[in-house]
Amino acid sequence: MGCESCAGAVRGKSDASNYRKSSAETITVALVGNPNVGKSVIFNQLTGAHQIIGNWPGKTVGLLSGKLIFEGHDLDIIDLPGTYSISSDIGEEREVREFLLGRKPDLIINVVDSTSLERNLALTIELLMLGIPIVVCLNQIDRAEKQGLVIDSDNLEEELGVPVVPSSGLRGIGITDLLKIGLTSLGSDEEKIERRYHTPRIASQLDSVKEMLPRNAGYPSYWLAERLLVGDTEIEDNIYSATPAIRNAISEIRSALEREMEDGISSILLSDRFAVAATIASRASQYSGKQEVTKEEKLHNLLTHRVFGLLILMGLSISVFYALFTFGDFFATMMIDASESFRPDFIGRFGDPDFGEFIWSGLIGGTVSVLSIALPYLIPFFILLAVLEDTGYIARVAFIMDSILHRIGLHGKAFIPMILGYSCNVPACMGCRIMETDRERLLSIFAVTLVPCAATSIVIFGLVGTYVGFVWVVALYAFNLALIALLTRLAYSVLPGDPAGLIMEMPPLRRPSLEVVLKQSWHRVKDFIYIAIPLLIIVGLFLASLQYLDLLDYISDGMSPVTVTWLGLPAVTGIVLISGILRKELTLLLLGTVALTSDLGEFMTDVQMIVFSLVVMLYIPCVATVGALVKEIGLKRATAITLFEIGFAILVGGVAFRILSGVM
Amino acid sequence: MKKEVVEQYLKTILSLSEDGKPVKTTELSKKMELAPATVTESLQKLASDGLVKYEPYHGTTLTEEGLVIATKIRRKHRLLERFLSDMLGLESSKVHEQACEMEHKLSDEAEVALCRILNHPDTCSDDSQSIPPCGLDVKSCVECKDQALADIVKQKERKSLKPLTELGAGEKATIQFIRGGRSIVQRLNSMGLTKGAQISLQKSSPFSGPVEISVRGCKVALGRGVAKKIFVQ
Ligand SMILES: Nc1nc2c(ncn2[C@@H]2O[C@H](COP(=O)(O)OP(=O)(O)OP(=O)(O)O)[C@@H](O)[C@H]2O)c(=O)[nH]1
Ligand SMILES: [Mg+2]
Repeated sequence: MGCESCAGAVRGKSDASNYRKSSAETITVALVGNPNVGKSVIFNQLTGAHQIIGNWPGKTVGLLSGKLIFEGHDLDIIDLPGTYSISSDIGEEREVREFLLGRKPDLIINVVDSTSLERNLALTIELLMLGIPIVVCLNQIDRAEKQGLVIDSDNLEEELGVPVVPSSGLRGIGITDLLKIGLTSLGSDEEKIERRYHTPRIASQLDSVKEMLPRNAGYPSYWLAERLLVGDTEIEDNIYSATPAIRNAISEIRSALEREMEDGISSILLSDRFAVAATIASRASQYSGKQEVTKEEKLHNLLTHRVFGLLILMGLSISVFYALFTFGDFFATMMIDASESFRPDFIGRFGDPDFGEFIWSGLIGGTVSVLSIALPYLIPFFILLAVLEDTGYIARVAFIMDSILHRIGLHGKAFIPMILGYSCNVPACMGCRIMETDRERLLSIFAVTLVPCAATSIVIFGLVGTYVGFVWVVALYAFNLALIALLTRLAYSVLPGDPAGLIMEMPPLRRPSLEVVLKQSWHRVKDFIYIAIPLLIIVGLFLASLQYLDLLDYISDGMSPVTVTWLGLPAVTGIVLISGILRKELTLLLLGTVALTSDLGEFMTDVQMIVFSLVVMLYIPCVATVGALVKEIGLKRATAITLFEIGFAILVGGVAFRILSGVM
Repeated sequence: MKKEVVEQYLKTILSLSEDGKPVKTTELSKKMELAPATVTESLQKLASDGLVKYEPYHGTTLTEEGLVIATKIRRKHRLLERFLSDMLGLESSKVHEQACEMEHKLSDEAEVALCRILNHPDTCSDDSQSIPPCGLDVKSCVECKDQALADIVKQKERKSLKPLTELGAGEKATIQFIRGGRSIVQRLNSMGLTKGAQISLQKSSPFSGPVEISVRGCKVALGRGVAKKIFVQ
């Protein structure tokens, strides 16, 4: 980060009032705050986007921007990852710091969780030093009220010297005020802009550092003083090359402080911020009446209990599967029967029945099969997942799984992206950024790519569930978990190193919000439909034309050593498996196309269905996932994982075919 | 009394007083395989040196000063156990006895060097008992690694520090020292786990399970390995 890029981070009045004159200019607004405070909820409210929201810390990874026109201003709203501080070089802290200093947003909306002001305000105080106009958003005020916590926002405003707006992101309360008030503060007076909150002991030391610094160094001055006191090498290089003399003076102040407090400098400064934050928070908040947290606490204790917690997890997973199975099966059968009854009639309308078949399986069949086979499983699945995400249960699962995951070189948090993986591997791979070290990120990404995503589940439920039986569905998922454990353990021994430990803030347990759940699941279903149907039609038409032109047999024959001889599958599944690279649900939906019947029970035996599902489950991360892999871990590792999984799936499939043929 | 004998007494008292109750003379004499009369006599001497508080019929407790020496010996003992088993590959049955012999002769410099060469271990090799933190004037193990041996012999008193995992459920304490590399210390610091922060243990799952603490009004889950690195008082 160059010095120039930060020049002007201290914005004066003239600068800001420019925005008033030309409303054509875009105003950048950054959402900054601790993890899990509701930044993305507010972002979604403002921009109409559908950023992932859920109830655990660390969902948003990377920056996302959205546009909004508000009272004639063009606003560019940026949703940032949650962070506890912006001073160290931990991933998200660095990312947010570099954004704030490099991109110089015009306004920071500092979202804080009203129910834990003390910890949240420490970041606020740190942000205030940057000299960027800030409006503090006192979010989740509804939860504070419920807990009997009353926050005097006027008092807080006075203490902090910046506007404070109580809000409830979920209910959309206070969101417009936030922007209105935020935009007026763009023109605040310069002398009010850089604020500094320290205890007297630290304040005096910082003042002496600040006095030594050259004017117009290009950084907000108190912030710069703190950075130099901490010894931030990037900034030191910039400043000390111009004024080398102050280096020793500053390091003397640092050692004196460290000796006096018997602590490291960065920890001293953090402690100081927390101390100031605690005072401000306690002055502004008051508990009234009794606190009703006991019920939540009891539930929490039950869910994280070492025995009951695991039993509940197992019971819950089985019930989810069972519910999906019965519900999905019922509707899928109903809808397939309905579509089948149209089929002969439809084909009959064309003079040439082969051509009619071609149109049906290529054009209509795709849409019909997405609607009838995929959605009955997908919709309830996405709803259940969104409920789990919003309650905070996922973090409890991470807690009880911690010691188990340690054995495969990971820790509890790795379970969070894995659960997301059951929905879609792509966000799950990105979600692995919550793992602290590169090694663990790589391991958990590897584990995630083995998790059967919703599309794979459609295949398993639609094929094995419908034709073979529920028990085999559960067996497949259990086998999959065992394989993940085994393979990750093996990968762990290839990538040695001490597993870092679990460090995770425990989110509150919440009653899931109907709106969040419905919206979240709707967006997932919508994304699915928008991509799957056109793709299915294109690929379906392509396969149907191959069939119509009698070309399919060449491909099938070419692949038969693997498909027929080794895996024991019908030869035409070769092309189906290849198409599945695009999206895995295609494998099931296209089976109907190549089988020329919609009763797959006539086309494949039970063993073939299980082997087929097993291969689909493991054989390759789909194109989108491979793309995400390349982005997250680089081309070489992504290729290695992909090739390994193809080989492994074929191996397991062939072995399973031989074993299952013996027993079934 | 010889230094070695003093240390042996203090160490044994520390291990017998894990439950927080004063140690009975009979218990001590049984454990040390000495006649009760000898033990009583020694305890009186230790008491007059200000290392223990000895009350006849009631029992013996360590004074602050006694605790510092006992903890130090325990640290040396456990480091030596690691050394003997990890680096020298001794059988685990021999390790304890050998360490008992060596612990009294190990200088403070050698202790520091041992800790570094073993890469700052947390626990013993055999029973995974936690190793008490060192008394060096360093902020982290990374710093210790970087520093030359000569200038860190200045020892600081680290009285009665224990890892967070040894707290009982609901117990409150203050963070004194966090062992470990820079990134984990930074992470914990940012979440409010800084030196001097008040914490209380909310929940501790047994064996290798994680713990949950409350700090600065928030609940934080920590893996057992991490929690063992946080020393409180
Ligand atoms: N009761 C209540 N819940 C809220 C409110 N705002 C957000 N939530 C809930 O808080 C949780 C976290 O919301 P997000 O918007 O995903 O949080 P975030 O700050 O973006 O989190 P990260 O991206 O992980 O840093 C979700 O479960 C929301 O439903 C609010 O005003 N009231
Ligand atoms: Mg977010």
